[in-house]
Amino acid sequence: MRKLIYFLTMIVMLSSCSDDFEYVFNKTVTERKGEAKTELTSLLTNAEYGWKTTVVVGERMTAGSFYCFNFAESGDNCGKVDIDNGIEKVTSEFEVVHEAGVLLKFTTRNKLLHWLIIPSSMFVEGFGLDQEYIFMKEEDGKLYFQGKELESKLVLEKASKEDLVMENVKANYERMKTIMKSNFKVLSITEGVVGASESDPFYVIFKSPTLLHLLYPDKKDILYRTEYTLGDKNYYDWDAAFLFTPEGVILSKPVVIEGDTIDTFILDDNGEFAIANAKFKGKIIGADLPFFAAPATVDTFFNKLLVLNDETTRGLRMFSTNTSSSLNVLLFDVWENGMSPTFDRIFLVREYVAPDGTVLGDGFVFTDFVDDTYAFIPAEYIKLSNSEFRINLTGGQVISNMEGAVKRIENDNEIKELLNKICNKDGWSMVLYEGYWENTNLYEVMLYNKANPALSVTNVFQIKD
Amino acid sequence: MKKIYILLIISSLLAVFSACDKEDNLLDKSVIKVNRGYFNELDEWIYKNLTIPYNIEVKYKWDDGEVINTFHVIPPKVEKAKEFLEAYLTIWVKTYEAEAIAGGNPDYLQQYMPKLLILVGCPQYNSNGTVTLGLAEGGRKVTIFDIDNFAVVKSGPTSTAEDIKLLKKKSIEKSFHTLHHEFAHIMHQTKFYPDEYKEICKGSYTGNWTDIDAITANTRGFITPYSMLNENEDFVEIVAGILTNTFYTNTSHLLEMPERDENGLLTGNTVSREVSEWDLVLHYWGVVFNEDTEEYELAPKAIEGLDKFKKKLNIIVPYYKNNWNIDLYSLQRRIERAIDDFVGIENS
Repeated sequence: MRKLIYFLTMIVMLSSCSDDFEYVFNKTVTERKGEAKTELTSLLTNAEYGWKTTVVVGERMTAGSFYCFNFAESGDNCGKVDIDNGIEKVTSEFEVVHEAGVLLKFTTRNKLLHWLIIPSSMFVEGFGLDQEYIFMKEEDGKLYFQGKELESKLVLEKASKEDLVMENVKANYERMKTIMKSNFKVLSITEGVVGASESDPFYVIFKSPTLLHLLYPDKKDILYRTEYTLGDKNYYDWDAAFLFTPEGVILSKPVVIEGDTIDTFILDDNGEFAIANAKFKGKIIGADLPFFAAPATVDTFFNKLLVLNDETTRGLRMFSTNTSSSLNVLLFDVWENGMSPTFDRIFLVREYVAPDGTVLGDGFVFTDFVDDTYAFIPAEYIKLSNSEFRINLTGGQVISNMEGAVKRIENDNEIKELLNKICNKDGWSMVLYEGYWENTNLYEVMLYNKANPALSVTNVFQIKD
Repeated sequence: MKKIYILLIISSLLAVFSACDKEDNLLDKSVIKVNRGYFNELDEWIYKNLTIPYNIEVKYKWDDGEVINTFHVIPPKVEKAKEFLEAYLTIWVKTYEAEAIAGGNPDYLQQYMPKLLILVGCPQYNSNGTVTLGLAEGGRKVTIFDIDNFAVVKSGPTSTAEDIKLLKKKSIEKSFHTLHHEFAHIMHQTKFYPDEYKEICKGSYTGNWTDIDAITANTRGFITPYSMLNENEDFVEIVAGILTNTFYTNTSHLLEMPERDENGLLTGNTVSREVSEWDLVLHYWGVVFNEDTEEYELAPKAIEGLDKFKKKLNIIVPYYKNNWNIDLYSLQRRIERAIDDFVGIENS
C-alpha cells in the first residue's frame, strides 16, 4: 500500500506543472486578441460598398437614423469611417480594440452619430446611442453589436451599390420638411381604424414638439409628436424624430392605435408617404387650412370666448405665436407707423361693454398701453359652418375715449389694410382645442384666413369654472 | 529496497524543481503590439507642440478608461479641441513657463505640470443638479469638460467686433480656472502651505457649500462657495481667482463704483477709480445691490470676511514667491497679455 502511495505521489508531482493548457489554442493570448481584432477590422473594411443600418433609440423621447458606413483601415485596427445618412456625410475615426471581447469604437466626434449620444442637463444619457460596441456575432452576413455602456443595438448589413445612391433619402427628407411646415399635418387613415374611410378619414395629428426642438435646434425640421382622439379619449405621445430611408420614412415613436402599430411609410406613385404597416391604409398629408372641424367650434368661439369682457380679457387678441405670421407684420406696422394715438393691441369682441358701462355690441377694439382706453369699430360676425366664419365691417360709427383715435382709424392706411385683410369675403377657418386643468377650462384657438392661410391667429383662453 | 525508494524520492524532487523551468526561446521581436492609432493633423500638432517639448499626453478621442463610467460624456468636437489646445499652450503653458524662467526656476513647469490632459466635449452632469467642469487625479492627470463651449460667446444684435472680442476674452479667462485650480493643488501637495493658513477660517469649512451663496461665502472670508469645502480647496480657489480675474491688470481702467471709507464701510456716494478686475473683486467683497432701494449695501460681517481673506492672501502670495519663485500678480499680467494676443485685442 505504502509503495502505491509513493508511486502515485510521484506521478502527481511529475505531472503537476504540466502547462499543456497554454497550448490549447496553439497561440498566446496576445496573438489571439490580435487575431480577433484583425478579423473584425477585416470584416468592417472589406465590404465593397460598406455597411448600412437603421437605428432607433430613446425611451420616452425617441430618435434615430439610417446610416451607411464605409470603414478604411489606416494604422493597426483603426482608421477613418465615412458616415452618410443621405442628408449629410461626415468622417469619424474608429478603432477596434480587445477588452471583454472585441469592441468597435467611434473615437472622434461626428455630428451624425453623436447627436443621439450627446447628454444635456435634462437628458443626461442623450437618446441612448452608444459610442463603443461589443461585437456579438456575424450571422447571415450581418454584424451584430451591442453598446457597451447603454446596450443599444447596432446591426450592420452589407450595403449594395444601389444603397449608396442616397438621393432618395434627401428627397424624402425635403418632402417631409415641406409637409411639416404646413399649418396642419396629419396621418390620414382610411382603413384599419373603426369607422375610417376615404370619405371620413381618421386623423392622427402631427404637432410641434414640446421640448426636443429646444435641446436639438438644428433638428427642429425632423421632430414631431402625435395626438389623436378615439372615442372619448385623447391620446398624446412624447416628442420624437423622423428617420429617412431610401424607401420612405420611419417614425421613431410609432403611432399605436388599439394595440396596432404604424411606423413605416413608403413613397407611393403619387409622391405621398403611404402607410406600409399591415392592416392600415393611409398617408401623411399637410395643408395650411384645417382638415377637420370640432363640433360647435364657431358657436363656442362666438358665444363664449368673444364675449369675454373684464379687466384682463377682451375677446380674442389678434396675435400669432408664429413670429413670421403675416398678421404680426401687419400689427407691427399699425403699432409702429408713428401716428397718434398708439394702438398696441387689437381684439375681436362681441357684446362689448366700454369701461364707462356703455354697451357697444360686436366689433373690433383697439387699445393703447392704458387698460381703460379703447377705440371701437362696429362689425358683424357671420357663421359660415361649424368651423368657418366671416367678419363684416358694418360701416357704423367708430367710438373711442382716446383723443385722435377716430381720426387715426379713418385715415390710417395700415389700419385700413389690416381691417380689409381680416374682413375679406373668404373668411376664416378655425380649430378649437378644449382642455381642463386645475379648475380652469383651456381653449386653444387657431384661426387661418382662407384667402391667405399665412395670416393666422393663435391664442389660449383660460376660463375659471 | 529502501535505497530504491530514496533514489526515487530524490529523482522525483529533481523532477519537481525542474518541471516549471520552461526554456522557450525568446523572440527577438516584441510580441506586444503598441497601437499608435490613427494620427490626424491635430495628433501631429499635439505631438510636436505639447508632447515633445513638455512631455504632455493629450487625449481628446474617446477612451472610456479615462472618464468616470457612471457619467455619460462624449469626446469634444475636433475643431474645438484644437482651439482649446492652442489657447492652453499660449495662455497657460507659455505664461507659467515665462514666469518661472523670470523667477529663476526654469524647470518648474516641466517638473510639476499635469502630464495627461483629457478633453471632454460636454459637462459632467451630476445627480445633485451641478455640473463638473474639471477634475484632477494625483497631480498627473487633469480632465477638462465642456470643450465644445470653449470661447463660445453670445453676442447681441448690436455687438461690435470689439465687444465680441471682450466677451471672448472673458469667456477664455474663465475657461482656465480649472487648470489654475488643479495646478495649485499640485503645488500645495508638493510643499505644504503654513499651518497658520488653516487657522484663519477654522470652523467655517462645510460639505454643504452648495447651499451657500457667493455673498455669504464672502462674509465668511471665502472667494467662492466651493472654497468652503476645505482648506485645500480654499487655497486653490484663491490662486485660481487671482489668475482668472486678469482684466486691466496691465492698464488700469476707470470705473464708477460705490465709495468705501477707510474702514471699508459704504459712504453712499459713487466714486471713479482706476482699477483692475482683481481690485474690483476686493472692492465689491460682500457688497449687494438692493433692487428695491436701488442702492448698494454691505452684507453683515462683510468687512470681517474681507479681513480674513486678505490674511489668506498674505500667506498665499509669499508662499508662491518663496517656494516656487512665482509672482502671482506678475503671472496675472502675463495671462492677460496672452489672452489679448489670442483673441486679437491690442495689448493693454
